[in-house]
Amino acid sequence: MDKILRIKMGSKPEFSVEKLGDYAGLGGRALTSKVIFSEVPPLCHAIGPENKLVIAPGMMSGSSAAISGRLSVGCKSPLTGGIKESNAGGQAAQVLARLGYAAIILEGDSPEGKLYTLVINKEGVKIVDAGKLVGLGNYATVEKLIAQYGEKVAYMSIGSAGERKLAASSIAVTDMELRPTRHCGRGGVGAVMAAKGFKAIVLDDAGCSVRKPVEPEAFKAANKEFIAGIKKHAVSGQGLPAFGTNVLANVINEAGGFPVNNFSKGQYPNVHKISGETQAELETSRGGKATHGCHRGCVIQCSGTYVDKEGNYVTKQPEYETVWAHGPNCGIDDLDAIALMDRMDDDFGLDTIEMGATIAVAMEAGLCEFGDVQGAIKLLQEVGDGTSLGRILGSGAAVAAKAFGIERAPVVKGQAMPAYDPRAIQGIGVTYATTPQGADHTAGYAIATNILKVGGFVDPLKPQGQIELSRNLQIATAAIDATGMCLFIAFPILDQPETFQAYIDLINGFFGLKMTADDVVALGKNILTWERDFNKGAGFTKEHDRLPMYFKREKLSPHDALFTVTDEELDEVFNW
Amino acid sequence: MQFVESNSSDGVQLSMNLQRGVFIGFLPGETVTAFILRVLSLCEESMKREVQTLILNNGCVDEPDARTLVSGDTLVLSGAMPGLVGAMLRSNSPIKAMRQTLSASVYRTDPLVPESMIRLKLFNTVLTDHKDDLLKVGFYLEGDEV
Ligand code: SF4
Repeated sequence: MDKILRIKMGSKPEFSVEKLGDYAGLGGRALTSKVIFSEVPPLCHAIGPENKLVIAPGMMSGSSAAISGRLSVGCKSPLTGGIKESNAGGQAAQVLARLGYAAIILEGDSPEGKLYTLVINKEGVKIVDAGKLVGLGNYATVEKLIAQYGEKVAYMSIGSAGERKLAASSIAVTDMELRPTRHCGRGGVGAVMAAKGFKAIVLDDAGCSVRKPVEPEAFKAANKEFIAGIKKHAVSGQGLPAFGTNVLANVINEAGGFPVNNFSKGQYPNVHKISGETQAELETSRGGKATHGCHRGCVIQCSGTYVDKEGNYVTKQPEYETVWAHGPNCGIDDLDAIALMDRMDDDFGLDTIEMGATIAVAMEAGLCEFGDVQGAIKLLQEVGDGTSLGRILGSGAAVAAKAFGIERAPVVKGQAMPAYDPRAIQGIGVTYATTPQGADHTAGYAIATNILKVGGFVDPLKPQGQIELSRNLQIATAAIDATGMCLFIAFPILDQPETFQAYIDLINGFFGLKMTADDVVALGKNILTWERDFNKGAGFTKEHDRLPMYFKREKLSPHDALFTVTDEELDEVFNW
Repeated sequence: MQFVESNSSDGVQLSMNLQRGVFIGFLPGETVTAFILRVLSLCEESMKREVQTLILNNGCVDEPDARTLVSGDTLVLSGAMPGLVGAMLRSNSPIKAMRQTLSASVYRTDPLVPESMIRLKLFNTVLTDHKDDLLKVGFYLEGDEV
């Protein structure tokens, strides 16, 4: 990974292969955010020619390090107007890293709005007319690409939502079965890919080998210890593989933090019908799979395969956020309907969180009733069809709420909140409010006691605890996002000091470094600083680090909770 | 109310019933810990390992030894949960400051639960690993659950 591929679109598409220069030593979110901070004018229009789309595998991707295949995509977001890093699993990160690219940077704009396919292999780079792929959904696009480029390839593509440059559009990445099920979902990155003139990217690593560590013995030993740590932990070794992330539905509901009917209640009586436990039982009983990885090398395997009553493939196992967004947040308790909407989102190329949140806003506005399954499917189909209503809905919850005259838009910086109500779980509300990414549950996800201590030991019982915790978690998460490791490694790292050490040793063994936890913290801080500085340039102030006012006014049952963290406390999060 | 002591329903239905909650008796003066050890046939060490998330009447429980069960309580037993919020909800989580609102129970009991019983819900690996233990002890289903 010692080069960058820069594609300049304009009247005549051109490309160049460059050395890493100032970007050396960075990967994943660190690299995407540094490029956007350094090269994109913050006041540009997100779908204008001055914006760039950066696609970067993690620092460890393409190696034999376990669970290192996350891909970061960065740009100025059409949804938030700020910086965006959106990441996904799938095979693309591993293949791109083996091809030797630390990043692809797409810049300029498409000549006459035409769409192209970018083909990258060991021999070089080709930019070809997307031809008959234009207008197709992600599933049909990938099917056609497979017919032309084969099965030993990773594909990235946009669906009809991206082509229409909708702010909720995603970029699909194919999984191990070459299905377009893994999405860089958040922030409208699909629209930016379309604006750069690309419908699809073909990544072919035939003839390339696995990236080799600088210190093979140390790397091998650390990888072994790291895998053992992941496997022996109750979350990463048992709960996640058995039930996937949707195992959270029951417990978040029980705690009263499960947003229902557009964040108007904190509990849903029929949660047992859509929970991860029920989903896994159902999948297995129908001949689907409840345990499956999103890319090769994943040793947790939190995903699965959702099949219908006849055992036919519908979609990958919908994740917790998807089940919640299209389910209880819209008053829906039907797993088959939720799986169908997940499939539609993947095919149209849409962020499932944003779409579920938007449909709930539309339901509150009276476009259909909460709980109306066919009504919800019809609204989603409008987005796929590109009707006028569909274009409003595909622009996300904030735009839809404005269009329909609804105050209750559960968004921060224009991006819809995920499946945790910030009134019940105030600590996550702090992260929703302050992350440069817009409301994002993963932004403060990585939990490592060691890192927490390095960031200044936090007394969890002090009221200031949640501010400091949110800060430290955001720092740690940014650093993990740079490695290409899946965030679910956070659990064994939290609980098992020897697994945290193995993680550091793994990075050191691969690069021949002597990195400490302090260096990890410094990297995380740098990333957040680039992101916040970009947002400042784009016009964001501390007043944008706030939750919508109704979270301070409307009580959430059963705890009658309000969001009570003060503005002054929120302003302390990045005061380091 | 229907008494269940062997697995007569299909797996998906049984799993849903246990997640929704079943009625089960407790002993006079029984603490949350004592109840778990008895009903799930666990020793204290295994309980700490297997039952990492405890929720009583919608509030997280950090001291299960100190709480005595009363009629109408709703008790949730679960394995460790993923996600930042999952970590927060764990008993004595190092980041429990982030769930201040949830550390207190809601002070109301479930009027549908019969005298000397609680509503017990099993989630995650506690559900799969201990449903047979519960079937051995026996429990009641609410009227409309079969
Ligand atoms: S744990 Fe889940 S999300 Fe993470 S890499 Fe594995 S399958 Fe993908």
